[in-house]
Amino acid sequence: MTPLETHGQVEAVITRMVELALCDAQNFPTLIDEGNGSKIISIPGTPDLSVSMKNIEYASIYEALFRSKSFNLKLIDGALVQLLYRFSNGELVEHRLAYFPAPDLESFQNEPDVYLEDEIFAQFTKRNVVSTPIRFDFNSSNARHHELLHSKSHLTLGQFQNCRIPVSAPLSPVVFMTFIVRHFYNTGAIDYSDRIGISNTFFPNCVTELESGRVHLNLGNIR
Amino acid sequence: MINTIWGTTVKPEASRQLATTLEAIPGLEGTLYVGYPIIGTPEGAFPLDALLLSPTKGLIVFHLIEGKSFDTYEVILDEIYRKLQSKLLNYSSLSKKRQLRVEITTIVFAPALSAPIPPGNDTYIVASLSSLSAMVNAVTWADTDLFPQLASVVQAISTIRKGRKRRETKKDDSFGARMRKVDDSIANLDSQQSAAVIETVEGIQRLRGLAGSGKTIVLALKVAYLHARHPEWRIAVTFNTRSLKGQFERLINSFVIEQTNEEPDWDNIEIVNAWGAPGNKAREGIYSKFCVANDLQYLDYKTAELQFGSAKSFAGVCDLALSQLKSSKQLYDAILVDEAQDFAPSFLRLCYQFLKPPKRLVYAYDELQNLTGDSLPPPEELFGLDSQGQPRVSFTAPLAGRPRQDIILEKCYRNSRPLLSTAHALGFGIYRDPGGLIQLFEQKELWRDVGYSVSAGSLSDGAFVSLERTENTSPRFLESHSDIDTLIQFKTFDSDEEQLAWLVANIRRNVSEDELDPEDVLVINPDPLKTRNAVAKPRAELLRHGINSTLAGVSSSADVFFEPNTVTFTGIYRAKGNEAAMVYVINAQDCYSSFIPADLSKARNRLFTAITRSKAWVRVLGVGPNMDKLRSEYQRVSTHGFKLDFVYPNEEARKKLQIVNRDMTKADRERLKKGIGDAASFIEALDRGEIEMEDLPSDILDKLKRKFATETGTK
Repeated sequence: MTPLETHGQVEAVITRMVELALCDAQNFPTLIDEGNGSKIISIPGTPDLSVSMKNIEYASIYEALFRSKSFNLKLIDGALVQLLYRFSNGELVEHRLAYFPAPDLESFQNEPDVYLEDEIFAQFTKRNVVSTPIRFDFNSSNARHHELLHSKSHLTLGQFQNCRIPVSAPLSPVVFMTFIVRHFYNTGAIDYSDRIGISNTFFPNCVTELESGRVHLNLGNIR
Repeated sequence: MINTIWGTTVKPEASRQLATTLEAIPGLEGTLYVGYPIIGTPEGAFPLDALLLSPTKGLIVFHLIEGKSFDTYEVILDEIYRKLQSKLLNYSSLSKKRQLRVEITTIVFAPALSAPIPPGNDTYIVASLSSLSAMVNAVTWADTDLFPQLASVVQAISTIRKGRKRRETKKDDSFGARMRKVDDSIANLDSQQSAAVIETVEGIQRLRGLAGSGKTIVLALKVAYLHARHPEWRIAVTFNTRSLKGQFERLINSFVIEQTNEEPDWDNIEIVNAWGAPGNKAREGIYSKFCVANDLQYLDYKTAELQFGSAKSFAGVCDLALSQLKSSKQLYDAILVDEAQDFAPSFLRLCYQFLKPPKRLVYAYDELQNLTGDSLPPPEELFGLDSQGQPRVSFTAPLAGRPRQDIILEKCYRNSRPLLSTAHALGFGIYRDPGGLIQLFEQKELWRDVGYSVSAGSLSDGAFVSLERTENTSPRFLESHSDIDTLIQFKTFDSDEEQLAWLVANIRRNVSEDELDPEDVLVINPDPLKTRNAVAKPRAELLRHGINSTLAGVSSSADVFFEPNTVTFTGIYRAKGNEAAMVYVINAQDCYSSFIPADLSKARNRLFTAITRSKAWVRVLGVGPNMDKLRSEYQRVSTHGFKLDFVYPNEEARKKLQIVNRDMTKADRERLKKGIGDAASFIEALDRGEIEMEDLPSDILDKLKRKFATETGTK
């Protein structure tokens, strides 16, 4: 995919999420030409993109992201989504696709009615909600790549520093969003992921044979 | 005769004697403020004991001495004079050339003093109980023509507008330009609002008013005033809709700084939701703190819903906590409750328990805004009985020399006369045909209290009455900027798609040609269960046209309702307390009627709330025949010149209205639905000839006949 196509797909995915009534607030992506053939797709304004890497309480990270509007989508249960891509001379060289659930709100899947019916007391939960942010990172650089330890495309769960589950390829916006919706927002009654209706597109595979010999994520190939 | 406004004072005895003495002076006009104003200085807050504002005497500041000993009053009087003078010099209207033209007299009043008073002089006046009148009478003021400006400055309390950035407009008559003029006209608080802010009761105080009468601002400024005068007090302000939190924070902060030159001490002021959740300071609420302080079990929303049902969830947890309570820790010096009509009485009783004596609880509400169908009982019932079987709280008739326990704000600053009259007419069902009146104010006096006057007929049982809003209670500048068909529009569409297309096209025009900002636009969907789906397509369509929007929803942090450059979509509950220049109500057909008559008042209340969010223009949109009927109902309001013309129902008719609208449990409701369903099928069977009346056994037929006879009043 070209930078322009990817940018267009992020926009289309966001619009579709609004239409599905899963997204309450959104920021359309920017496409910035940095010169030297480098183009980045990012979040408008002055987003704080490094706070999530800091060694601070998750609730503070979420709060910082929220206040600085460092997200592309705020979902129905307060979760924040970021879709960041970097291209060099038309080739994808980096991406960060992140999902930050709200630290003290019940997840949508567990209490869909509370959110669908907009219960105004929904945020008063006593249960100690455990939120797990997840992040799909990609970096094409060979220097960064340590086979098996740090695959080019990987999934990090929670804030575990060394969790890098290999993924077969970088994820396009629609593949990422569908993954999130399918596994965190489909309910017994409604299949939202089925309704996204944008054809999947794929970047070239980057996983090595050795890496695919271990537990890893395969993106599949259904368009 | 002077008018006294009783703020909070630490010298009650001397203040009372001051007021009594001044009120007895024949021919003295003006307003005596006790415990106001507070002057902010570089050294901090400087409260004045009392201030007389008089058209003939300018300002007289009183420094009160309660005891028998004198302090170094000259120093104090000098300070008071200098600080007040420097404050007034800020207003060019009070000076001629460079001279302040307001007479400021300072008087030390020591009513308890019996020993010979050191002789004062012209500058340092000292008065005893017997000499006060003469000394006050002796004061003269040369520039009495400046009184209106002086009054305005003193009454202003605060120059804070609720405001935001200045509007940039290019066209002279665009909506944006009109809005700017309206905002400019709503300058400061009026005298009613100022008095409401200052008047402090050592006990319970009730504040009522219409939507848009400024109750929220008055509450916020009250918090700030009490904090400025009593910085050591622990004060809490609470509400139901979280989006008010930001408003409260801003107002309290600005006002405290304006009055005292210092930031508020946020350790002593809490702005919290009513429910809350324990553990996290940001999420605490009155109920959760109550449970923690008194070691009671806290129930979160989900648990409460399972136990008490969703409608009574909060009432249930408060009742439970109160029943388990042995004796309460008393943590607060004052609690202020906004939107009290949305809380069950048990929450207010919980607040009562949480307060230290003398139980300073201020609760504010709007009769017609309650969306859950219950109205608040009077204080005698609300706060229950004490151990002797006497009501804990009762309101006495207003007494001279005492602050008011019951305050009503009758001027509405948000909605224009036609808009508010329309909202009331539709909310009450005054022009509903068929069907007629749906609900009514409990007491006749309330009509006048909320700003209607009788233009024909009379407010009595069985009599015809015509009510209208006057210039006094509905400022004309709120409506004069646009003609009526621009101010209010009701539109029917044949399909959702048509409604959507019109909505999107109009919003696009609003933010371009009309020069409004996206955050000036609010779209409300009245039925809470359908909101999410109803707004999804319009929002997506607006996004495609480059207009950003949010859906007000659940949030664990930052309680913001309006975002810059963003159109706000919302359901009805979160809309409360907010306002916007341009309001679209979509799917209003859901408000026309309801399956169960008891839900009809709820549906109409929602319409009332939605329409009254607008500061200027409202567009009520809907689909289908019910929307058409709603539109016809509005036409009738318009044809009647936005007056409410109706025959006032007699007692029997009123009782009937109440029965029809009574609150129902879920079980009752299900039974009623089934009963209605069964009755409908029975009629259908009759119509289709499957059953003939003659087929019915005679005793059933008799019973039916008798039932209908009593209902229709024939025998």
